[in-house]
Amino acid sequence: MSERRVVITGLGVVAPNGIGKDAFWKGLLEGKNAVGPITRFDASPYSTRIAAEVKDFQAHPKIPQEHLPHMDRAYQMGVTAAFQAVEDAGLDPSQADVSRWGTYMGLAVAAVDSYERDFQWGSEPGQPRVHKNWYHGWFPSACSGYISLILGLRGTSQVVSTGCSSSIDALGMAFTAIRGGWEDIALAGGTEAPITPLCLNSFCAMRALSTRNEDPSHASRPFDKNRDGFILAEGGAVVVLESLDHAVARGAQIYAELGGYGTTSNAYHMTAPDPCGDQTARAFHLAMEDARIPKEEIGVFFAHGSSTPLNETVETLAVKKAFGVHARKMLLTGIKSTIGHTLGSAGILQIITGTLALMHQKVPPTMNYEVPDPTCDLDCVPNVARDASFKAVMTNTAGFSGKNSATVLLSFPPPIREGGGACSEGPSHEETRLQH
Amino acid sequence: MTHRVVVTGVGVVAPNGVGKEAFWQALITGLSGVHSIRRFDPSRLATRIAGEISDLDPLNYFDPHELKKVDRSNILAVAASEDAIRDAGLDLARENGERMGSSIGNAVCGIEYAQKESEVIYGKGPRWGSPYLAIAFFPCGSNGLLSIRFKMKGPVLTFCNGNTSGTDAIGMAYRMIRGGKADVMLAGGTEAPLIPLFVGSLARDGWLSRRNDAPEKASRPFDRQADGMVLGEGSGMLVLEEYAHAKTRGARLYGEISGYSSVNSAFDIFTPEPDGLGIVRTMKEALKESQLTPQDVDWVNSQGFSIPAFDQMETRCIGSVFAGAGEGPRVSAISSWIGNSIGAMGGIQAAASALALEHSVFPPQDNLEDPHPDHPVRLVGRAAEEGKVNVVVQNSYCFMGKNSSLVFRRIV
Repeated sequence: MSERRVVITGLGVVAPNGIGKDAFWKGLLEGKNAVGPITRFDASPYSTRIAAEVKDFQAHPKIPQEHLPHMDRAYQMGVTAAFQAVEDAGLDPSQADVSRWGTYMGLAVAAVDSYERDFQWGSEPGQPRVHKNWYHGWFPSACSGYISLILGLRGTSQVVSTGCSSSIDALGMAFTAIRGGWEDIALAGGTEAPITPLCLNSFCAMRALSTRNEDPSHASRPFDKNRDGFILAEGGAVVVLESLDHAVARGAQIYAELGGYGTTSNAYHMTAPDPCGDQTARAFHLAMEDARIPKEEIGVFFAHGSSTPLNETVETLAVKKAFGVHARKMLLTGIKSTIGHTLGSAGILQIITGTLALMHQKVPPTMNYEVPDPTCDLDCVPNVARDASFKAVMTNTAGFSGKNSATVLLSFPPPIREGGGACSEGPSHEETRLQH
Repeated sequence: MTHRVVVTGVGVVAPNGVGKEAFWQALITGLSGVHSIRRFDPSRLATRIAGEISDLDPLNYFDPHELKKVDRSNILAVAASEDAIRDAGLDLARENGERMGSSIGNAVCGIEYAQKESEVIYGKGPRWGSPYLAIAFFPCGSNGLLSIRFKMKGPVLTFCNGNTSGTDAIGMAYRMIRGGKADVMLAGGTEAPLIPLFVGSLARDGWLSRRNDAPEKASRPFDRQADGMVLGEGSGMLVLEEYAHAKTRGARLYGEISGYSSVNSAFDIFTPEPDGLGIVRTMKEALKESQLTPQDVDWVNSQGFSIPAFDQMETRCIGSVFAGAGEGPRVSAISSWIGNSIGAMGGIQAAASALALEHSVFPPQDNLEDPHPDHPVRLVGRAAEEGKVNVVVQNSYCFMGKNSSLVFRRIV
């Protein structure tokens, strides 16, 4: 059986710069900054006191009230994004055979917002003051479980946790499952609400965060020489993945094709990137091999760009290793410059950005780029969005424990290829293989 | 083209035995791993028993200064993985690390480390917080440590699906090898959930057995006197390998993984679906993927929560899948000996699946003194039975409607 092709047909976003795909995209193009002083708790004792919070978040009205008091903030954001994605895709699970509709969610930390409060009460083990069945509100399993339960999806329901690459690995598993025929539709995404004292301090203690507390809107500055650490952020995002046949059969609007996924591990250090960048570059190669496209077709690279001193230096090196001379023809962009780093949902926000960029043929800028860094000398679309013409993009995520996960997104319908006619269905795998 | 996936190594750290041999001997001779809790003072808790690991020295696996950086769940994972790699006879220096990965189930993350750190930052102040917290309580920590230790540069994945985590981690590793993304995957689960807050609140809410005076009698799946589950800790890891890769290096083959299925019931957070369609579907689909029929199955390696409503649902489902398949397969739950170690459970069950194939023995089931009459299946009793074990179906299911099954079969 040949592998099935997989397309993106729905987008849902709860991000610090906007809720819903339109607000999110507008915010990115305008370079709207979402970083500010932490308001969710008193952050004065911590060395970093700024973050990118989702202001005015309201849980989706279709989430039954009975669940809300138990659901961690991260899970409320995830389910809200899932509802948006399903509505955007024009799907109604209650009217469909949902036995092969899966849910694959990434979560890096677990629902700390709920459980760390309870740790303070845990010193009274005889009479824990936590509410009844408190664990189901934060169990990582609930991250996908609530989506399957509330939307009524009866395919698999999985939570993948690989640090900051979690949502891309969740997407990769969903991709594998649709390709292999185990699912027809999958909601794939990630969510995280890590702006809590314990989580904030865990990153402060390892000096991973920016301490530019006096100037939050300029604190996240990927590729800039004066970057000093990442900005913690929260948000949830979900895409609808669908087999091409299924999408065509129901007349769905197809936003883009998910062409390839590649994942590697540095086996080097728990938190620092491997300075040689070889495994990062290999993830790019694997994703392109998987998509069966040559590197010259990648027009835009959605960088991990976490704004840490080491990350962008290694990421730039890896791009050069993987793309050679083509690296200088590509545009790189770091969306974390305005929305910070949402950990478990960071990758899926890049996927949504990449999808919208392919559709609109526009590239959002890397904001706060002021001082060039000689180790980051590729075109990072500084400060102003750009129109460009491209038919394929790559996303990259790097995660704690040394993960690298990359994807290739292709515009759909695919552009006319040399020697071939325009074909709305795209070339078959066999044809594509012959071309390369 | 798809690749065949074989099991070539087994590693276990379980409450009834540390190391594959100790675990198997304890299992087939009937030694319980459930005892009074010793890791902390449980005297104020409604439940004071658990499946604890007492004879594991962390210093065998980590230097003292490294131990400060890791959660107990990480230590258990490393111990079981070293056991599995040794058992597989893998010479890591000769392996291509880029074709090796790991896939681990972990349901509650590094909760012990997180709670301790919480006490530090609220008690002494944030600047006393550990720089290692983020990696010790993230679920991906064990994978990171293993990838560095064994130089694995391929796919590295962690699954957090409650009780199905370990089974899912193995199922997804199987799919990675099957699809040609890796040649060797370490796959299983790890969990260290025994902290007062977690045990205490589950006990208070009525999920745990309160048979504190007779710990060994507490975990009794399918028995009418069951009064709740017993929490446990541990890790079970397999070495999965692409068939030709294993043959080329002359590895011992425990068996083959031939099918995996996972679905959601989307019914309720806690209550099992009355008709149990979820676990019925996963058993049927995993068998279909294996090109096997219910008649071919010899042993069902069952979840066995020791909660009557759940156990009855499970046996009803097994009964429905195997109705008309002659006498039906034997069924037993190793949780009766070791309790339920959540994210590790699927990994430890998988170790039993592989060892049952190797030894042609049906692992026994403890505490079946008053079997519930509604159980329409052939339960193995307190003594292990010898017999043909060619095909094993391993079931996991849990809260949030998650259901998963794996099929292990003898190599043919």
